[in-house]
Amino acid sequence: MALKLKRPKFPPESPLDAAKALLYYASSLGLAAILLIYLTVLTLLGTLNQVEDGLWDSVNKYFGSFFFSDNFFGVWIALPGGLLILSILFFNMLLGTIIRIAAKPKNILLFGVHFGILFLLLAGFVEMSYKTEGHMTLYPGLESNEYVSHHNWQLEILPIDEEGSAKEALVIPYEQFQRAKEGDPRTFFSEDLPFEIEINRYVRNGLVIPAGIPIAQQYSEDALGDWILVKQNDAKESEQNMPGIHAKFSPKDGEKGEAIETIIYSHWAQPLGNRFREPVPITLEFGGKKWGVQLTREKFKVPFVLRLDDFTVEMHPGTQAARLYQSDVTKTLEGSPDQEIEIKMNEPLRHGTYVFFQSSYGPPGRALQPGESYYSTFAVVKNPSDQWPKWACYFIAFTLSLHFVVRLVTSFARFGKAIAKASS
Amino acid sequence: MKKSLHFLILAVFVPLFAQGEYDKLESYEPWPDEAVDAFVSIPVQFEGRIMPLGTFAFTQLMTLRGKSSLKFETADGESHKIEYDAWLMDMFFRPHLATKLPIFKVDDHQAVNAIGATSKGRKRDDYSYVDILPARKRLSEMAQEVANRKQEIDRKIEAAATRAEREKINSLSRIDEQVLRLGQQASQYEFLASTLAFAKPGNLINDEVLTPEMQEMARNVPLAGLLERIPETSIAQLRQEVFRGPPPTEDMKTVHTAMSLIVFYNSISQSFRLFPPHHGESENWLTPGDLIAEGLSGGDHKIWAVERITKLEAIASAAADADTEKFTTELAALNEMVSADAEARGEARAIKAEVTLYQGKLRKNAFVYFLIAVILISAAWVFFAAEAQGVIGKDRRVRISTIITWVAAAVGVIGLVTLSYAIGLRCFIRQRPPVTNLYDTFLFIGATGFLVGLVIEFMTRQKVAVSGGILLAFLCVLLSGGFMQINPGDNMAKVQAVLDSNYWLTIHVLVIALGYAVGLLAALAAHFGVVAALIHMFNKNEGTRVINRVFTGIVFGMICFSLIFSLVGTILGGIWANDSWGRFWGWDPKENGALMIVLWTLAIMHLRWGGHVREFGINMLTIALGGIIAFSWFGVNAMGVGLHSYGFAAGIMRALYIFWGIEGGFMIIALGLWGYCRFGRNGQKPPPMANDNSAQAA
Repeated sequence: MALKLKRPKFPPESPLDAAKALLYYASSLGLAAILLIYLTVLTLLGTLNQVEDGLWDSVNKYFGSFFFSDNFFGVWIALPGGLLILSILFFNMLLGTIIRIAAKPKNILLFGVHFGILFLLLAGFVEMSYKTEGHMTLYPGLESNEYVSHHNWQLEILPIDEEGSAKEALVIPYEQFQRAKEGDPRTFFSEDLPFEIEINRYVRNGLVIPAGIPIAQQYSEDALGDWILVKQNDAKESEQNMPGIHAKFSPKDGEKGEAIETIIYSHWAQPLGNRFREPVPITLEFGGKKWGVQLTREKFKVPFVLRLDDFTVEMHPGTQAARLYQSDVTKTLEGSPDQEIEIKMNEPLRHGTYVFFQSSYGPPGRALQPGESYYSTFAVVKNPSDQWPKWACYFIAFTLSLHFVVRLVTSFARFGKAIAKASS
Repeated sequence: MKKSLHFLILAVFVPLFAQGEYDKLESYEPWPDEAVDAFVSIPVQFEGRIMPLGTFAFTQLMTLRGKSSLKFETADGESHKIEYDAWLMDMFFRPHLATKLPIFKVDDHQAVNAIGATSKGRKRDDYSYVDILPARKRLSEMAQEVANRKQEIDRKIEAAATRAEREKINSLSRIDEQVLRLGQQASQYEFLASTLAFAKPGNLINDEVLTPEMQEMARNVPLAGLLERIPETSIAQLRQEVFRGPPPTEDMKTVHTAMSLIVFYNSISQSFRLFPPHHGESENWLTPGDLIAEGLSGGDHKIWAVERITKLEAIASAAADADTEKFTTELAALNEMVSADAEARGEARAIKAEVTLYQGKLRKNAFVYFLIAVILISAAWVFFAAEAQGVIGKDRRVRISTIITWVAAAVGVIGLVTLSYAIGLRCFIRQRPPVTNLYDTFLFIGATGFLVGLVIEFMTRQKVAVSGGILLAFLCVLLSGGFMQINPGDNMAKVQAVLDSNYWLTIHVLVIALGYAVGLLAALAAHFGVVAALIHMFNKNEGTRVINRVFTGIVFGMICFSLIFSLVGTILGGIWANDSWGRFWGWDPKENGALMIVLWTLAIMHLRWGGHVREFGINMLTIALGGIIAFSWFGVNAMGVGLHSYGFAAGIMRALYIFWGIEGGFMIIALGLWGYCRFGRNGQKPPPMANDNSAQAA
């Protein structure tokens, strides 16, 4: 049932009037129009910015933020971000649907459309809050039960046992030290660690060079021992950034060992499979035990093991353009028989909220060497709202089409009368 | 076509280009129609698909010249116009004549001066291969230098962190760009002209590339004869022998010369694949060069290859002897031979359809029909204005403007049928839905836009919808021609693996394209709405008020349907992306473009339902919607970022800026007139007229 809201007087005479005024404007079509126009402009700006900053950074800045600032024609301006605007739009639409649309049979489809779009927005919020994504890369014959993030990094501290292997790692996500700088370090400690970690420099995309080479002179103030972590421009494709840190490891009171300050660089930390470069942790010794430290991409476990049995690529004849590439995999889930599955473009593997997509293959841009085989890369996503947009789409398409057809018929009837009147 | 081979040809040709004067073509004898028909129908494999040789010719001439035909004058004073098919026949079978055809279009004669050739004086002119031949070596050197510089500039731009840094980097000058393009075109020309040169001694456009011994042999011994005398071997072994150096003994010299000649022919005859393989499971057809290599092997392979080489030699000899009857017969026999082989493999299914598509000039014909329809509908509006003013047509039950409108619609329908036939043939050839690439969208949006306009016109009969439809179809077909010029490659190329889904291509791409079509139709119709709104503001009466409202109602109805298609198409795209890439929404530029259309359309609707805009405002916002659709349609493809790289098109921004400029200009003028009407000369809002009911109406 629609509430009958009148245009509020200003200033409101009572708290109830103020509440009614708030409700009036919060549910208004005018506010909806302003938000929609602003979102159009924001989308345009965020799209154009991708040429400068790449996709990932532009999305975070323009659409994943409540507020952002940018330089427009030499002037820095702070503006509301996509997250804030979409949140307001959600409530505007919810209130507008409940309050403004009259509860009449002819409006039933309009209700449907609005609830469909609300459901779609809800799917977006759920995805943003709970989705994890990354990739799993395998050579034929290899298997894995984890995938690694495209963009997120973490500092791993691994207790190394007497046999030289590590099982469980302590993890510090990069969000906790990405603002660290000299004079403003971040310190981390744990009951399980005999030492403290102080991170006093974070470089999002860096390169490590020897301090002795001629070109290193211009970066000498960043030198740490014989090495320099040189800051590079951020890569346009965020996943190509290779971060590095300056970290100081100091023994806790009463613990054995000397403080060590070192560079930890991510370049060798790409755990993509046995035939790729393995991570090379820095080894430390504190409290009579060895510890490995490395900067790696964030890892996520999946509840089953996936083995790549075979990978095939077909090219369009006489070209190097792929016509088809497909992975034959075996899914091993404890307590269930093994499943042989094909994964190819547009035909992913779904398991609960996990989805594995055929993303790419390699080695890129060159022919295989004798004895070499292709590797296959799957994009892996865990998204609780994976299928919600599909249901919303079918619902919106049905209700919107029907609504406009009904409106069209009534409009033509009205126009016919108007034209007849004008002609007479 | 392998780039490395381009360089090989360059390396072989360039040192031998001597300075000299070249004459205009004395006369030109057209090829017999039967021969042309046989030639264009020969199936070939190029860029991963089987196509008629005519299509290959079309793409080659479009790449070199940006047009599908060639106009020139001969020394005998005759004017000639030849199509792409006849031109390629000249390239293959009368290569020396072809070198005098004006194939290269140079936009600035300073580029010709810069390479040391003699310019023709006019800033923009056409040049033949022989015109630039005296400066070929210099052109090659300069083009290489510019290419290196361009690579360095691209590298710096890629490394630049900010736009300011990028803007400081000097780009190539206009002359540099011209020189680079001319160099690339000259290489492509040489590569193409050499493809079948082995078939006729003396057909190399410059046989000085060969050693005197090789020249002597090439002028006297047919290749098939040479192959028959060479013992069984492979092209790799032969190449090793040749590169090992001259033979130790004199009596081996002839053999070495023959081997060198075969290796040379094998290298230069690679521009397309002409023969289906006669054994094995390979999908790759054989280039003429591969055929030569096959002729080196023994047994059936050799017999098979030599039979085909002999056929090519017979065709080339007939052409050289100007024996048109034999030429036509031999060409038809070759066509039959290749077609039979292709059909046996099930690969020649759509050759006839594609020949019809290109030879029928369906797109060009549709363009002509829509052009006539545009002229007629413009005339209809002129008569309509005159009738509305009472200048003509008083007391007539049937108005002239109405008759002309329906004639325009009928002509448009002929255009639509022609265009739909072209779209249908393209679907049949590719076994795909109507839209798989950016070029398809022009044809599809033009056709559906006109059809939707026509349907709405039947319901409303206000000329607005059909006018918008005709104009949209005309502009789309016009743009498709422009698009082909800047993207001259095969416009039915194989789709990428990610697009290999007829289901999604149908339900997502077609729905989105329909959204574009209806939205653009609304934007074009909105121009009439703006004019109607302004006329009503100038001349307030019941008649203009109704027209104003009806026009706007039509536009608004179109917006509603544009929203359905855009919204559903966008969400379907998200669902496809979720199945292909693992995310429903990735803020990719193409996705954002579609989202902008949806948001703007929703904004217009909410502004109208909230009473914040009326007729004039709705129409103005709808014109702006047209600008957004253009950005989403192909503007984002020019940004050079994003996952929808299959639609990238260089040089498209210029057309877009022109479109935005025209629309912006229209909107500014309309806004000025609106302000003038609304607030009067002294900035005062005029009092409402006695018969002004617009406020109540809104």
